Amino acid sequence: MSSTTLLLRGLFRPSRCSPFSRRTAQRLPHHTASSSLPPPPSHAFGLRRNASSSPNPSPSNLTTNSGNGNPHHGQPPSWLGHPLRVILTTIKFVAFAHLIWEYGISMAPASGPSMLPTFEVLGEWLLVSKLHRFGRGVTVGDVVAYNIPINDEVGVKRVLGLPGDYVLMETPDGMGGGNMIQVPQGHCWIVGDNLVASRDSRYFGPVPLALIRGKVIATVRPLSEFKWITNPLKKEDGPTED
Amino acid sequence: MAPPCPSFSSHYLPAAAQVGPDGKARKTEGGRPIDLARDCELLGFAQYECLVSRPELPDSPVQCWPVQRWFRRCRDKKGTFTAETTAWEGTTSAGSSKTSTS
Repeated sequence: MSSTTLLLRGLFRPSRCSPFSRRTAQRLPHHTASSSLPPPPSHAFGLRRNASSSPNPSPSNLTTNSGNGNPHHGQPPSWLGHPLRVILTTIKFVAFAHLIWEYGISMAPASGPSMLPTFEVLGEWLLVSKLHRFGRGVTVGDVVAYNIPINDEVGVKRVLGLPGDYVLMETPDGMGGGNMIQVPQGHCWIVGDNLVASRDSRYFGPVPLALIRGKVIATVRPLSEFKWITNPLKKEDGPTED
Repeated sequence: MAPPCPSFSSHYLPAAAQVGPDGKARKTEGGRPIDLARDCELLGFAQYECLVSRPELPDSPVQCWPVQRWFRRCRDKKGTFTAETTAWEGTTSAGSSKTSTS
């Protein structure tokens, strides 16, 4: 008997609460492994035929019927398998989902006017790449999700400066002035796209890269729209005179 | 929190860009000081000043005015860095307003 057959028999073996059924299951060829076994002896079919015609069903015909999809009374359905297998499969699924959610890609709703017009005030769902957590691979112009350093919320802003870069500390006034700062090592400078309705580095200073949760790569409006978020920073010819 | 960081006027950006975050002088591959206008490519994108006309409505019209921001991406011996030159090069407003509906 091959190991595959043994494994399959182990998977579909009835629970411990019916030892008699387990013994008969070992005696009868199982339907799942029948292709790898020699043809069943004629007495096996005779047993099945006799069992179906018997007015008092024996434990052996309960076992054969379970293979046809009829559930036992008081036992889990056969397709669930052993309860321990169900628990293990559930744990594996939860662990895999956690792995993807924390270190791969996650999605979350976003609201607020600070990133207008890139994101709408309401109804936006953001796809966040966790591969860029802690600022890995983030460049100037990217949109990131981060832990707001002054409360426990998660914000979304655009990166304007990385460690060693030079940025304006205030909103550009159009007059050619303003104070600047060099972003310290291990930090970044983030500003919302809607300058008049954003609380960002202009308010609380450089943000530690450790607070970057990921890079926003797409917006999803459920059932209506999917849009990639691209970096708008591009080469320019220079300011034009008004 | 971030360590104390000295601020400086945007007029001093060309001089401030000569020093890296580690306090050491920046040099080009040729060993020259960094010249923002000569050694760095000009980049830019727009941010906005938006006004939600009727915030009490979920689909209120939104009116936005672009604010152009300029950057210089430079390369020194240790890699690349970016300097915002919006104030240094002058800010231009496109003048046209963009209206969107949320």
